[in-house]
Amino acid sequence: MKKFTGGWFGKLLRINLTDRTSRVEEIDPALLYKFVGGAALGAKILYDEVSPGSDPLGSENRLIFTVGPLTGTEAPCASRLNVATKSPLNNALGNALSGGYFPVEMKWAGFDGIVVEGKASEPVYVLIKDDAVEIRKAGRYWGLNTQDTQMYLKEDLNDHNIRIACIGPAGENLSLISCIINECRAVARKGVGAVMGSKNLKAIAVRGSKKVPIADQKKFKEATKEFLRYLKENELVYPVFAQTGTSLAVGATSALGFFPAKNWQDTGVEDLAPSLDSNAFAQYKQTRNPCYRCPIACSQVRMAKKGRYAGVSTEGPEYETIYSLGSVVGIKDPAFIIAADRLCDELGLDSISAGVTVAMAMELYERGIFTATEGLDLRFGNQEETLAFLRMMAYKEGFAKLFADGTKRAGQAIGNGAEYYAMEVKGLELPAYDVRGAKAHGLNLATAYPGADHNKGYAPQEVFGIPIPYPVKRLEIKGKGILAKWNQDFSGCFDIPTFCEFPILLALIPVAQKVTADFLSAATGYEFTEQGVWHLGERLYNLCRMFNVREGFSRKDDYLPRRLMEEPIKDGLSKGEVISQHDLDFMLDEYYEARGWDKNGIPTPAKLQELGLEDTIQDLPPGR
Amino acid sequence: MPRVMIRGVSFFQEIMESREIEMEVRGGSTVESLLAELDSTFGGRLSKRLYNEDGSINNKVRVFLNGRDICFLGGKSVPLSEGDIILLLPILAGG
Repeated sequence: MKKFTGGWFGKLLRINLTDRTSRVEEIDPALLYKFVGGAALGAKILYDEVSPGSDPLGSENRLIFTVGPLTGTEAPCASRLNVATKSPLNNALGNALSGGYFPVEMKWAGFDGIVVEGKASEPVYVLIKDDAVEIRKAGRYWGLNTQDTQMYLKEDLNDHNIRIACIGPAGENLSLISCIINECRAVARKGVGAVMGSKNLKAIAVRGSKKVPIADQKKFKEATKEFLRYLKENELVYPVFAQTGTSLAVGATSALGFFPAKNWQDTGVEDLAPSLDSNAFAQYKQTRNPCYRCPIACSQVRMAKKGRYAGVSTEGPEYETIYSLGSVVGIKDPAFIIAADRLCDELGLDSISAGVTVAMAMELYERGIFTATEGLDLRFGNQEETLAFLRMMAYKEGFAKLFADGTKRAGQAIGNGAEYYAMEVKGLELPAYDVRGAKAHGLNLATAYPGADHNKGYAPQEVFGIPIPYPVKRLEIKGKGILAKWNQDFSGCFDIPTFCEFPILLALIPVAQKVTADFLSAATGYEFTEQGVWHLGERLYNLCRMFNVREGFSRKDDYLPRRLMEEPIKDGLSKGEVISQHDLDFMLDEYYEARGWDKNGIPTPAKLQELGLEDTIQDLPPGR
Repeated sequence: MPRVMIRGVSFFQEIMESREIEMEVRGGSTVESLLAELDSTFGGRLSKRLYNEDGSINNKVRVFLNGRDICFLGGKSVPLSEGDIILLLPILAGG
């Protein structure tokens, strides 16, 4: 295959922490064309390098940082980073994404990917300045929270513009609900922080000075202009989304009766929008903090200005965190949510999983199933106790150790029916949509390869009424298998090139594949088509499914928590809704058929062949 | 006369100057007649957001009746009953 003429550098930095070496490898152009970048390139490398059955917290696991051909270019909204690893939560393929500036510096250092392998014998950090790579001792930073780590490392390096991805105490203590933080942005979910901690890797600091080549500048500028035109024409992007960020969504999901409350017991009982929507947070706003070359700047910096949290600021809280540290733990105080969000960022805890785990503990406490909380009054709504419990989980102190690895493990350890109150799929805690009121969204949570990840197949048709590819009835199950596949394969437009999902879904959804294809073609010099972009998403999904199949996953793992299948939503505009086992089975059958998988959720050889994943056919279970 | 609730999100909330408004409507009222009445209260600002020039509903907003998109209930002419909840929702994204 002829070499690309832009977009990628074609370089992979491999860091072996066991022998403290690094080397730069060329990436096969054919591999780049097929998997492009971000989530797909990371998944491909992981698939090839991590053998089935290996320990996710062992030295064989990889931590793979990938960007895309558009990262660090003048393309708007493209500064995204993917981290791929074998998830210690569930042995599934865990892809976690984040924005910010780290992805840009990494790209400017000349790398499309960084693979971290092995395990250091003592805490270390990696310093990357273009081609110069050093593995340095990190003892003086070990134990520091993520914000202090970044501050002191920048001071010590005398470089305040160096970009740092690091872990906090939660990752160091191998909490499986820990994350990686760059600035205040989280590469979160799937236990990626614990994998980094297991390698004794405190941080990666990166600075780059290379300019990303563009194959066809004229076409690239045209694609940029087109992208920006769609943003400007959308009256929700400006000024609404820019001024409120994702907190805007509380108004919609609460009004439609599927904003979860109190560990999903009380969804719909109260319209929480007056307490927790973007208007409720307006008085706390300080400023906005955009990602690189993002003209929207949806990230809101907010600060508590009076009361017991006065002076505490955070970048956020996002919609998800308003749920996980607000409604689902029975708290309606924006100032508290700001403080708790900040605490999670500092500790390096995934705020979604951490909050949902607190909510489970609260329900177990109130029901008398688990009361050995060492005097901590864990009733819903208790603020100081929530903050204390978050800290205890990050440090695995006392009884909190039972909960520090998320709800599934807590349920198994406690027993006595506690498992029922674990709101998880494949061990990953549920995000902020009570899917009893949004069925395709529910099917996505059941089937998404990392577990309950809303961003791996978001159903905007149900959550916000977006009528593309067609209007759907959110409470019906028929047709949702096909729709879930459509939404999941849509990720070819954002998680791979890499673009941010928000502008794509808000303003570009009718033309997303074309715009993405135009950008990729102009950047790389290869030809990408709309259909090809669809295939990128489908290939990603099948590759990740095969990773999981190789680990023993099948239909049995595509489940929803029993509460959602047995307890109807109590009140509101989704009152009475459940997703019964029958409903889920119906949707799964339709979904597997749409995917070209068998009844057990295993991809067929024909489908894998069609997607150019022939290499994975040998990993199918015997008899297929 | 039946009483209904109108709930607005984002710019609809701003136009209505409230998240919720409760109204009494005449018997035989429809979603369309209710929205027309509401629009006159707010100086025509609601209809600018709701409708295209040809009177069809703008594809950037959705209108729900009791949590169901009215495009599946026969459109704007769907009749109203006591206790109905109408939701005006701009198409959003985020999460």
